[in-house]
Amino acid sequence: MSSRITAGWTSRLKYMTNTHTVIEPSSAYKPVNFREIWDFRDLVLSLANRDVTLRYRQTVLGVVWVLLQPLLQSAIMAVVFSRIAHLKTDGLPAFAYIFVGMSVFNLFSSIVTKASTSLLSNAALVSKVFFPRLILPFAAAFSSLIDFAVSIVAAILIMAVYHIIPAWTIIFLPVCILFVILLAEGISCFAAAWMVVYRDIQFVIPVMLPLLMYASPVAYAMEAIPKRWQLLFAANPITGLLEAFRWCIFGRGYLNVGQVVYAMAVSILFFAVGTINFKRVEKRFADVI
Amino acid sequence: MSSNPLSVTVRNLAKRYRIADSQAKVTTAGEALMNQLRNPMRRTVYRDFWALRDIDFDVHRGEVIGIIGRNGAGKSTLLKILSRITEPTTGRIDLYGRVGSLLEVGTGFHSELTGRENIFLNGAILGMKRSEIRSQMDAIVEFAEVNRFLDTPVKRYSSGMFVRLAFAVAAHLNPEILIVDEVLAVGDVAFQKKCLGKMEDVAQSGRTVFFVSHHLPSVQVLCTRVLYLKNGELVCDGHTSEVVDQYIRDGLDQPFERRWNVDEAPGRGGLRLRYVRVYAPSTGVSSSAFDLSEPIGVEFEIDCALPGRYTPSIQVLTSQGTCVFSSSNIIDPEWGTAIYETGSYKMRCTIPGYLLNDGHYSITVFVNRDVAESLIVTENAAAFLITDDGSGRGDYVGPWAGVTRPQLKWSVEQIPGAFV
Repeated sequence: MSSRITAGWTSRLKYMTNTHTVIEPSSAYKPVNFREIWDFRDLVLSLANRDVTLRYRQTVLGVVWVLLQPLLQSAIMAVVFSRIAHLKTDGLPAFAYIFVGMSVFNLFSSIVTKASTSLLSNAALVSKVFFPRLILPFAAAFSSLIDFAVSIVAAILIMAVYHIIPAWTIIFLPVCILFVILLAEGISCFAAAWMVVYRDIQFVIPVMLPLLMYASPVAYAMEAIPKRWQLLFAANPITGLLEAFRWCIFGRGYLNVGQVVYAMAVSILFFAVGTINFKRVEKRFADVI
Repeated sequence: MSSNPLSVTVRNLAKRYRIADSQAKVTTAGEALMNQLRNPMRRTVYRDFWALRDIDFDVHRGEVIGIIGRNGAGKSTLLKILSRITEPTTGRIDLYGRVGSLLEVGTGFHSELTGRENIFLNGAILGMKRSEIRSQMDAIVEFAEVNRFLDTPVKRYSSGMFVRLAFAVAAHLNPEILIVDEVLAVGDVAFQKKCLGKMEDVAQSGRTVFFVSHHLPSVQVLCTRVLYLKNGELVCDGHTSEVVDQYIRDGLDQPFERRWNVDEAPGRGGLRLRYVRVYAPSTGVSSSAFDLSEPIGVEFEIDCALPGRYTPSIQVLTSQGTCVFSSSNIIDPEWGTAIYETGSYKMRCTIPGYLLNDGHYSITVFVNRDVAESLIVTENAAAFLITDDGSGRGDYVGPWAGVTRPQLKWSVEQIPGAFV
């Protein structure tokens, strides 16, 4: 029995490498090693593939569910905030305005929800297999991005119904998405790392996300917000990202450049703090989880 | 030692865990906050626990290193550090070559995904590239014997199929240093045999293997060298047979010799069990471990305060609690029906060699009055271990099935003219 298998093994000796790995206690501050994460890209893609496959297979309606939720949410909000409360939506059709806003906010909140719990939900991997731990919160973002892509296609169709053609500024859309991801991942990495030690953080996040949504101009424009609340909205980095995103896709409306620059700076800061902190506490994960 | 190039060097390795007092142990941010508010000045007190200390060894390519030790001796911690899952507290390890570690069969398997999808996912988790997995797919599927179910979700697999698939992926991982933890405890015997064969092949192709197991025969057959860990320290490092012997001598969970004081001795109705031991009949020396071929002596002493007709018996049980056999001296022409006068008696019984299979056994001592009434029933009165030195099993390396291991007579003859 064994001779056949031996033949297989020897033929595979060509994979022999000259890898040299040193294992030592690390210092408290380790830089985030993106090279290492790149080396593990196959794992990132496999984990992402798992999440996407499961999300779209387990529900028979698949894509329909992914769309139905923001469509219903947007419709309800359009009725409540635009028809009943008469809040302004930058002169754009309320439903299209809100649907685009919801798509962006859902991208943010879906990444935060999945990425912040990614260490706990993959605890078996963390305690049994070596890989750069940052892979988990990063891989978790992929299925949210697929949902988002579906949502954006729907948004463009909805705009078409209202006879709005996306403007040339749509080429900046990827930049906006990148910053949404940076902000979401920054918060997630921070939360994920602490969630390993303090499990109750996982109950705090689902409460904070809706609060954050109402503190962002998702269903109403900044101008609709009373003066005394303006500062709170302006301090929220999602505000700038939402406005920039709408400016890109609708190609009209007023773009507060200062607001956008502020949002981008905060996103980078959060991302840096989140990932550095993650690396700092990373070595404890396998012992604690 | 080997003259092959170095594969792994470990220097001054230690791992410390800090354990908080049970009261101070905090698992929620809420609790942590409350503790801070209540006692702002108090700092949590930690106790240090050294899971590993002062570990030093070198390994050359092609060596198969067994790691043995009791639970909590630090085996898993060592494997986790070698696999880079957790960091050492001090020390340094140099690994020359790609490391593949298999601390658990089927890590990351998802029951909703199909066999094929799980092969890709698990392969990636174990560190294989997609292209490697693709090129090995046929070999993996063939090894696992799941061809027909490749596109079925693994939740519909039998547990045997699941384990086979999981091991197959890991077996086709292609590391120069392979780390395997007790994975042979799963699967049926035929598959275990296949797995052990596979690991032998890995070693023969010049790779380094670390193998942790409680199953001494597989360690003995597979490993060229054994590290024996005890309370986090490397107490013995050398040739397999020497280290395994030391390990066996060091430790049996139950004593092989026991004496009771008069007031503690088990028994009732005038009978007391005072002494039990297991010994080698050839030398008369008490012992805890025997080779398969060796006979095993069981000796016990009773005090008898009431004359009567007594029947001493023993039962031999496996570590799972299955009774292998019981034996009494009921048909003994001299003592079988005799009346025991007041006094102390010593009973002896010999279990022949090649009766019990390798493994741990415990002895229950019985003494009945008038054949049926049990006055002494002492479970776990003594225990012993039967080891398999690897002889008498031909080329077969895996676990030997069965509770008993008789050497039966076989005959084979060719039937002339019957073959068409």
